[in-house]
Amino acid sequence: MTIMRERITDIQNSLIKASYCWASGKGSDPQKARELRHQAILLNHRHYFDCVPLYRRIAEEEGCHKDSHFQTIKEKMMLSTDIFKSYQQSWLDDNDYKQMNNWLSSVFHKKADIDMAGINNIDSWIERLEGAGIRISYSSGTSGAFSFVPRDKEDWELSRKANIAYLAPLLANIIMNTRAGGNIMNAFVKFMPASGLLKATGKKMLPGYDAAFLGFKSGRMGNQALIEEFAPLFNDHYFLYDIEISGSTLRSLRRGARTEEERNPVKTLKDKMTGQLQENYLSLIDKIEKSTGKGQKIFIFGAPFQFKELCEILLTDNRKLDLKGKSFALMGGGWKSFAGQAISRDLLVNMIGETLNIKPEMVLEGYSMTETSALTLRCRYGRFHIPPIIEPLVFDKDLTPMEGDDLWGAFGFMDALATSHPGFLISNDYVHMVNNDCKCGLGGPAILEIGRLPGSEVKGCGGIMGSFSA
Amino acid sequence: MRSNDVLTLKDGIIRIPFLIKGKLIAPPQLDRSQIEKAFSCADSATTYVKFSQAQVVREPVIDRRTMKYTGGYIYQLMPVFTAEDLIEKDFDMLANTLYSLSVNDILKYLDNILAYLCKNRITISRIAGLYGMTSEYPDALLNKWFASMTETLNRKNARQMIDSELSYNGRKGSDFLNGWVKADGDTIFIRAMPTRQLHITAGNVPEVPIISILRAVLTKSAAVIKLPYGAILPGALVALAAYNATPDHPITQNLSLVYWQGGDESIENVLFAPDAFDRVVVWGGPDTIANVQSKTPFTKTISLNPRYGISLIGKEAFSGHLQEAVDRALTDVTAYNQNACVSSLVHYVEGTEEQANEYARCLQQALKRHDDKTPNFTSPEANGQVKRMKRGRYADAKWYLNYKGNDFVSGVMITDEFDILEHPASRLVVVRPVNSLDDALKYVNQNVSAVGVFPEERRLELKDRILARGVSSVLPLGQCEKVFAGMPHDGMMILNQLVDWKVG
Repeated sequence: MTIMRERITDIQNSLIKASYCWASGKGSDPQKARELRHQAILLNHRHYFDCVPLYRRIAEEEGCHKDSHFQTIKEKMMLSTDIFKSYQQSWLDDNDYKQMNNWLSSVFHKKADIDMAGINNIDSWIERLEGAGIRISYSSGTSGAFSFVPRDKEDWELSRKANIAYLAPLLANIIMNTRAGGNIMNAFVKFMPASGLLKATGKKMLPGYDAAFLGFKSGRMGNQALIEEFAPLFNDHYFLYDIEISGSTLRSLRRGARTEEERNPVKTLKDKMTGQLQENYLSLIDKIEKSTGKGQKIFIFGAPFQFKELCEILLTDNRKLDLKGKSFALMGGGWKSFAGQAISRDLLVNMIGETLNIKPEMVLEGYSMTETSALTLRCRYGRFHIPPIIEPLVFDKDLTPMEGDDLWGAFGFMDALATSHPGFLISNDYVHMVNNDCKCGLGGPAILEIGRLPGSEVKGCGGIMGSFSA
Repeated sequence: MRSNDVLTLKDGIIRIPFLIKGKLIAPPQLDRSQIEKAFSCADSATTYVKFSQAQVVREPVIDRRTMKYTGGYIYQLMPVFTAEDLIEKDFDMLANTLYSLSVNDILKYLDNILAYLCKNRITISRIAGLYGMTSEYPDALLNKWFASMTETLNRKNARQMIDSELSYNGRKGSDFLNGWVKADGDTIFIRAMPTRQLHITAGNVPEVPIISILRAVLTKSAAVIKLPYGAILPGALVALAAYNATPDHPITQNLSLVYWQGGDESIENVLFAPDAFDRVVVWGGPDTIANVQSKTPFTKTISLNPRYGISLIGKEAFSGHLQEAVDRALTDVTAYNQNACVSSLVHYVEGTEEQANEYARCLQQALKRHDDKTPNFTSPEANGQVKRMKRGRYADAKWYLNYKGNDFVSGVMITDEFDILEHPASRLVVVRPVNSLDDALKYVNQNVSAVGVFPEERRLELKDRILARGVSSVLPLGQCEKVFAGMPHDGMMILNQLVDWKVG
């Protein structure tokens, strides 16, 4: 580890502890956290400038240098999250992973130097990179253009530690409706010092709970990556789809399979996801009932449309699940391409209450994206609170950062834990962000609404019907 | 109603009247503080507020000298209406009045409207001035457009449209619109019967609502035209003209020119119901098209989808014709500031990488000269999108951009791949080098409206192959904006789609 990296890591660990303090309400010092975050951001900028070729090129084009000030970085060096899809689709189409490596090396702080023998699809490429210490998360847009976000092991571990450090106390707070409850997790948070908490990540923190994941057994896309992180925390866990979702299959599904080799897994996936949809849900429901029968509380994680499907299948089958008190649900990922099926949050929460016996306050919601280290949780007052590891920003239509405590615009963030890849990013989400104390007890910036640009009508016969290559 | 009561600017408010079946409905009085209070509850992107008795659209004011937002707004205050009032179910009345008008009656009607407009040039000039205060189009284009409005509505064009688009079996369209025409033997006759039409128009081009009104008038329709955000004023001008020039004419008596916010279910659930209209015509973005199509499954719907134009530049350009090719290409690029469906967004250049760079540099300079001559408004969204592209997916592209201060004005990017969804459509040209124009054909599909080709011999060589891929027109480079009365639109003769061909 270089001296620079060590310096950054020290600050990042301090920030994680600050995040724990912020979430648990124990000695939170926003000013100190802000200083740490800004230090980490400036050091990360210097590190990117030295080690991430594409970042350096953009910096030079924008007239920035290694020692640029925080404000300059904020104004000129915020990249689009699409930077992680700045490769050419034809390289994937042609299985040209040498080119993909070159590209990856341009957005990562080290050269992706791997043995290319035998790499013939996204999955084998990702696997080989993992062997070399580069972990890839990806998300697939509706066009099938994947964002590949590379992280080294250090970044990944920091992200895990951070999430556990602040999510554990937040969950305790939400579930127990108190900051000093009596369940195991709460006690864990209460009595273990922050350093111990950080070391304890990965252990079964919720033995009284079994988890039902409305996703695949494994995979690296969006919510799926979270599932793999969450699963080991529970006594037992099961999945809606007991298969792995591979990147190659997902891409073929989005962009159309071209060969027999691509068509077969797509067919299997479609069968599983549509043909056997009801069967999968019923099987999951059986497992939930068995867990409940053993006295376990249940945690269910999935996208809103999946919760809706689960509830509808129970209603159609004239069944209800009588989950034990303190069971809870976590929704994430929004409706996305299922926007046509979207129902209001209140309606969905009611459905969940009626069919699963989960109280409204136990239906949680998370907001995250592949490109950030942090998962934010919606509190009971409807705010997604942003932990101190993130410097949130809101941009106007011109992509100029705005100042203020009540802002609407494109959501951007400077991720203090992102050292191996550029972490100063502007997303495609349109948010309403405020910065003040919340009734839930948490302070600092929080997102009230997440959506698309509202208010204006689309103009045009001249325009674009959909995404395609031109 | 006097024209100076409405369509004038007072205290930042323009009162817009609606024409509803021959009645001119003025909005109620609301003062600026009431309107501003309503908008203050919403975020800055909100453009529409509905009151119990009024609806208001706000548009940001553009300083015509700097072509930048001033920070102020103009509020267009409009009445509300009941959707049921727009629907016509008295078929006997229609058969006996509107549907039995002759083509000459229609042409006389247009003459009257035109005469009113010509007599009231000061009013038109005032409304053009108001439109210009918020329009994103350059003044030169707006002036040209308002001046050509009389051309669009003249009887020669109108007759040409009817005769061409409704012609059948060697007979002129007028014959079928006038009444029954013998088709087979002595007993079988054919007629182009009018229909009840709902037009959902788009505001990307100010002509769109006017063309829609014209099409409805020419087909003797009991029509409702939804005026679009961005071009409410031109439609309201026609409403005023129709009411003042020929208030009792059956066309005016069956014409409604209104606005509602797209997606308003209290209106759309009624208007989109089966049997409310015989034809629905929809222009607009993907969401609008998909929304209307999904809600009108049992009504014949004519979708004028969002499309765009491209240019194919043959290798011959690099044999002493580069400037000519660039000048011609510029005409297609700047057509409606890249906002129309024929505007060229992507140029496929046949040649080496170096030649593509040469073309891009030359086009950048041509754009710069055009910017100097015709200063453009670049929206913050377009400026933001260019930043997003440069600092994102297209960070590796080659960029040849023109700036004014820190703001993007126009330019060219060269890239090997491009997702059309990301095009800002604001004087930005995407250049894609290809080894052969044949290689460009894989990117040609039904989303492409018009293709301009250089040189002419290459156009003739490629024309049918391009058209087979779903494109509507393949024209000499620089002529994609060309229109003439009676021409097909999106592969259709629209008037033909708007009438019901009856046998009786």
